[in-house]
Amino acid sequence: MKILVPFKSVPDPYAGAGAAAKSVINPFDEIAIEEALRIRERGEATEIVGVTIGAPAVDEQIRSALAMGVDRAIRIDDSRALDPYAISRILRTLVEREAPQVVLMGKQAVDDDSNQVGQMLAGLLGWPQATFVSKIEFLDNKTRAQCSRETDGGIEVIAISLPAIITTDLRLNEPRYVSLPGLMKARKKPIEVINCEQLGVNVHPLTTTLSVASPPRRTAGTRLESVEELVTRLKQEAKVL
Amino acid sequence: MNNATREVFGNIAPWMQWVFFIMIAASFGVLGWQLFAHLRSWRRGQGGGYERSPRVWIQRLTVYGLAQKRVHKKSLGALLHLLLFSGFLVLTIGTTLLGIAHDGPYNFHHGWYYLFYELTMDVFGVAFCIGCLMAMYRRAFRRKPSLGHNWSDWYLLGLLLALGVTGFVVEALRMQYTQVQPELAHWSVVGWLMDVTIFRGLNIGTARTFHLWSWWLHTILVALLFATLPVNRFLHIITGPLNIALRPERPMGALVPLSMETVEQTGLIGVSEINQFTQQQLLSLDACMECGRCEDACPATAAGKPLSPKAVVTDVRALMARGGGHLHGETIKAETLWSCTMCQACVQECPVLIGHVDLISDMRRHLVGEGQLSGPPARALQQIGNQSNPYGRPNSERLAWAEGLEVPTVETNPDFEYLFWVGCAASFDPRAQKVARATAQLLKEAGVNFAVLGKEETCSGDPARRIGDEFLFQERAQTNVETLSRRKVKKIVTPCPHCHNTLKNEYPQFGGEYEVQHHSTLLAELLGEGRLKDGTTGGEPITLHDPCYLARVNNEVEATRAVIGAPNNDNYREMPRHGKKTFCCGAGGGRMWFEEPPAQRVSNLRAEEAIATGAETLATGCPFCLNMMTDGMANTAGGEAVKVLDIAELLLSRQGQLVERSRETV
Repeated sequence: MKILVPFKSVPDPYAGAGAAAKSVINPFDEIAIEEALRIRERGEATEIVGVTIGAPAVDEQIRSALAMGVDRAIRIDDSRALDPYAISRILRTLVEREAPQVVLMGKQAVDDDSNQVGQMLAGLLGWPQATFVSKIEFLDNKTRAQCSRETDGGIEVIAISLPAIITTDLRLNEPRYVSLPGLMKARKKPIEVINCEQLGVNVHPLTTTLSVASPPRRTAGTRLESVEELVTRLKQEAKVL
Repeated sequence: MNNATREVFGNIAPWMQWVFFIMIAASFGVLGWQLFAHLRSWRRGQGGGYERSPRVWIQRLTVYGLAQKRVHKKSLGALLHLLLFSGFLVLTIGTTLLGIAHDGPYNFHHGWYYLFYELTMDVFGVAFCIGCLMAMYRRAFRRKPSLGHNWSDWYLLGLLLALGVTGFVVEALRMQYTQVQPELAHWSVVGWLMDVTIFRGLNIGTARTFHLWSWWLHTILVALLFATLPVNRFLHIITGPLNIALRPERPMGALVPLSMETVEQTGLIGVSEINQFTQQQLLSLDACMECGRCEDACPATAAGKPLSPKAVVTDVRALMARGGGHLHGETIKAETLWSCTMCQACVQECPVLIGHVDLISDMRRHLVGEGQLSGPPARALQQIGNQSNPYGRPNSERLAWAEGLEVPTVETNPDFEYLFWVGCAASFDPRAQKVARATAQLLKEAGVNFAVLGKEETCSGDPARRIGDEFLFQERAQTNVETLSRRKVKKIVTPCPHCHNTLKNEYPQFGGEYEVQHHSTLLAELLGEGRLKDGTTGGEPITLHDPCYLARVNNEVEATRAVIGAPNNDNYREMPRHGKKTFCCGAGGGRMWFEEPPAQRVSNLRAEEAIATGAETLATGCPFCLNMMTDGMANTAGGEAVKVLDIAELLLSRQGQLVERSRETV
């Protein structure tokens, strides 16, 4: 079984506010990579192919993915800010070329929080999908997958036939740590670079970003001495009592 | 008295003497053959990495071997070991001397020497037998779990006791049939006492026969002891001294550096197979006689975590005995390795100088290299890589703690005497920031010429090294050594014992040599010079939690007490485990960054110990201890009312005027 894992490079969400955040693999996609590795470790997958879209700068994240254990990687050389539909179209072409049984990816990227690519890709391919997945088991000689989905109402367990799209939720696993020597060993693994033209994909964005604004900075609070003072202030200043 | 002596082999026919020599030689042959097998299994390890200086060997063998420094303790086990050790040593030396006297060119076995010899052998023989009986009592009735109990222990103790008893019987019967004069007989106290009691009136012929039989029994037991020495705890009388001599000399707080070249050549990081340990490390496994001192001292064991330092040693040893193989998973579980706080309590206790923490560190490095670390500690390491601190805060906020204090930096005050190394915890953790503030205010008040690095400071790398990412540590170490050289730093003061230890003991591995002080020692000096107000009064009861990496690892126990005014305070209470024998808070070894079930927190145990002193304030000198002990107090009954404070905060509160001013700047 071949697994294709598309992943995105995003600013490090764990870096504190104001930090010059380094780029990292989108945490949900990292979970997808980890899951693919675990599926391979239990003998159910033979090859894991990573794919990402971006300028040469994202090679650093590709190296991380390879160091985690992805077998080979493809970078779609494109530095434009693509919308989910454009990305889905690129991925569709790639899926048709690579013919994986499973496309495993994060449910959303933490930078734009779109949560659309997995669903659109399933639509474009006409494949079944399991989104927000926190558990995956393969059934019937790997022709079907049983997935637990994290929904607002609780855990929904569904079975889908393969090939399929599976998008990962936070509780699926905790990705492994990649150390420096691991990164160095991954230098020998191949990265294929192609562009949209070579792939034969026309990118038609359906959405345009008009503006991005930071949330207002929180101002300092006031420490009060007593409950009485709090009541007074709530009455007179906040006028909520 | 000059012609006082006794016969040797008196009752033994020449052919029997031949049988005796052949038997003893065979027994040593069997011993040698087994030891050779052990030697071969040690030789499968990596070369180098052992102590080569004979001067160090002699010094260590004197201190830890002859003087038994690590064995001394107020316990039955320590006392019985002293009796067994001194008894066995003296009896062995005595028997060897007898052989030399009898068969060598000089026969000195007569006169006053002989009488003194007989008395000494009897006294130590008695000590030896008492030691055996005490050990039997301890095994039969006390049954301390950490000691472990096996049939071979009874075999060994029975054998040793039988050796002692038959030795005396042989002596008494020889004295009986040779009709020793009373004034000589008194020197062989035990033999004489036996002759006037149990063997009284035995005729010479019967005494001769009994003597022959008991002599044979004694001889067979000696042969048995040596032939079976390697299959029971007694092996440590050979491997213990060997390991004591050969263990590489390194400060307790410094882990072994790993070079990238080696990793590239071998393709190996850390240890996954037995033969990747060093030869000395493999020898150290066989030096363990399973006394259990390490386990008794281990905070992880005490908190119910899946780690016993003794089991790590014996499990790895069992694998070595089976011919080697893969360590991880079956033999040593990952949870076991992650449970270690690297507090070094086991290393400090071990009488034969086994380096448990090095074994664990080597195996952790493999786990990290193989991608077997995940979750919060992995994120902490990622942040050390990405943001140069485990908190993931931007390094531009390094001076947030100092707001309003006008703390001099290396730029505003390039001619500083002391570099104030704040550390990541005191830079970013809101609670520990108060420690940085207090320290800076005290240094200013005392007129110390100091500066901070500000955004040029980065993580010392301690958590990365202890968790097992050696190269992330080395990246930090090299960057920091460069910064410190560029800023011409000579003296460093820091409120973090982990930074203190790494800067002092590990940076020399990367060419960084500085005079590193924990803030306690500098503050104590300033107090001594009268540059800070002491003003200790009675006040409420207070106790001190010694940070492991300050007290145990770096021998600093007095300054912390001086800073909180303990010597002049009647209300100062000491915890049972204090000073160099302190008990970990649970944060060491990178454990600060691990999630753990509330029931298995080491800090709860320590909080209980502190609460039991009746103290209302718990002082400490480490931002991680501060964090852990605050949590521990919150989780423990009776801990809610106990204030957990850094020594600098306590000292600041005694500075009068300064306290007032500091309120205004907060």
